[in-house]
Order: sequence, then structure tokens, then C-alpha cells
Amino acid sequence: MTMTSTDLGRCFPELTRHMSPEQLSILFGYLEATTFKAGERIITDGEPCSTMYLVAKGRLSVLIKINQEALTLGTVGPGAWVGEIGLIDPGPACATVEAVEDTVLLSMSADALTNLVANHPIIASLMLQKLLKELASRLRASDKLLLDVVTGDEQEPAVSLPKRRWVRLLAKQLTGARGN
Amino acid sequence: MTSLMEFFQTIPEFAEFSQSELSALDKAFRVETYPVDHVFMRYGEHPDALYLILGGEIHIKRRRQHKAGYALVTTLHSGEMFGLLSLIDNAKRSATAVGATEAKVATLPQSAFELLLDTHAPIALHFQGLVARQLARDLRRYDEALRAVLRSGDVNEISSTLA
Repeated sequence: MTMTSTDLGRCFPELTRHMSPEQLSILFGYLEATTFKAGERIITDGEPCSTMYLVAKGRLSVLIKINQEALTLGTVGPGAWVGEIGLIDPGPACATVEAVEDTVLLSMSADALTNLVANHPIIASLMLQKLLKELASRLRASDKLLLDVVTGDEQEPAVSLPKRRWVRLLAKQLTGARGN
Repeated sequence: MTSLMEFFQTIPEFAEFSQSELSALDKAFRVETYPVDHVFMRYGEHPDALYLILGGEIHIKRRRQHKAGYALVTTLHSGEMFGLLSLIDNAKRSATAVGATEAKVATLPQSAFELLLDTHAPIALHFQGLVARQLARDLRRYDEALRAVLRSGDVNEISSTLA
């Protein structure tokens, strides 16, 4: 699958909203297309991560480990992305991400973002604004779930959901996993 | 050079700002020393400012669900900012911020923040980066709290990890 900057705008309308064809073409130059086979791992929970991956084709699963058991949080498909926290603030990954089927990803490294900010601040700003809104929305949703515990009675936590479901919902917000 | 300018230069988050940008911020922030227990913002209020702690400690609190009073969520220290989230999405405050000690705090009113973003494009971009990193770190902090629960099997672990 050969990607073009036009495909970038078509596949990721939210991320590239308000960008002109010329700006899309510039942004496309800061992305690298990579193919992963079904079952291949892209990000490992707890390992250093400083790259965001945009899903152009295929599907990824997002999972975390509870003790030795893997809990699948959801899958992400074309138009979605993973790894944006590592792009903005490089550090340990919050989840493991694997290809469920043959997948084409467009990756942006933290170094590429630094260069984009320096060379094309308006394009960087348009992209960051979308990422900011999404992070803010996930933080508020996580806040709400954590509120159940933090403001609960100490002897009897006010967790209104069964613990496993609560863990799954919170982890989905923290990792950005969508779907079921 | 004012004390706020000197302070900016000690905080990594402001390393990307140029001298002229820091000078614009210096003019926009209002610095005051507040007594212990001063309430900077309240849960449910509409946002009107963001805050940078220059000295002292601030408690971030939430109203308890089943008991009177508030629960401590976290303690913020010198160099940390609060009130950012509401300025991004313009939603109501999600927590109450109270001085845990006497605190020296720089306040940036929302109107001054918006004026800065409109008139100083590079400041807008730096602020986007600064806020994005703060939100990413908050999500990581929550993730660590969740891991603590998963390790111990005790949901109360969340409170102690965050505080």
C-alpha cells in the first residue's frame, strides 16, 4: 500500500483538520510508513516509547498485564492512533500494542515532532491542538473514574462498578484504547 | 530582571521560551503571596485563570461522595502549574485548590492568556507543548496509580499513590 499526502488527509480527517494540501504534504514528509504482520508487537508495556503511530490500514489491539494475565482494552483501526503520550513526553509505554491483522502505520518520532515544531510551527500547532483536546478529554474521564475511589469512604470505597470493569474503563482512558 | 523572570529560567517547562516571550509572560502574570488555606479555585466553577507555584505547597482536593468535607488528591510544589485543563476545554473546574502553606503564586487571568495566544503566536505553540506535556504526565501518574491498585488488589491504594 503506497500512501500519499492526500491519503493522510482522507484517513485522518480529525488530526489534519484545517490543513491545506500543501501543509498536508509537509506533514506527510515527517511521517514514516511501516508495515507490521498480524501478531507483531509495535509497543511494549513499560518499555521506552517516543513514537506515535497512525493506523492507515489494518487493526491493532491494546492490552495491559494484570499480574500475569493480559487484559485486552480494545482495538484501534484506520483513522486512529496510539503512542501520542510517548510522542509528547517520551517515557515508559502505558500499554502493549500488537497488530491483529497486517497493518500499515505512519509513525512520527519525538525527534521528528521537534523538527516539525522548529520548521513548520503552524502545522505542528494544528496537530498538537487536536492531540491536546483528546488528552484533556481522556484526563477528565479518568478523573471521573478515580473520583469514585479518592472521594470514597476509606473503609468502604465508593467504587460504583465491579472492580474489573472499573480497571478496564480507566485503563482504556489512560491508554487511549477505543472500541471493545 | 524581575524575580518572576529569574524563576522562569529555573523551570525546564519554560526552557523553549525566548527572552522576549518570557518578558511578555512576565507582564501578563500577577505575582502575590497568599496565606495558608487560601482557595485559588473551586470544584464546579468556571475557569478564569491558570496558576504557577513560585513557593509553598498547594493541595488539590475533591468533595467526598458519602462523607462531609474534601479528600486530598495530590500536593503540588514550587514550579508546578494548576488550572490548565479548564483553559484548554473551557469546562468547569474538576477540583478545588487550596494553599497547604503560605504560597507565592503567579496568576495568569484567562483574558490575559487568550490575548497572549492571539498576539504572540510562538508563545501559543510553546504553551501548547507545555500543556500537552503536563496532560501526558498526569495521564502517566494516573496510570501508575492504577498499576498500584493492580499490584496490591486494594483500590484504596489509588489515594496514597496520587497524594
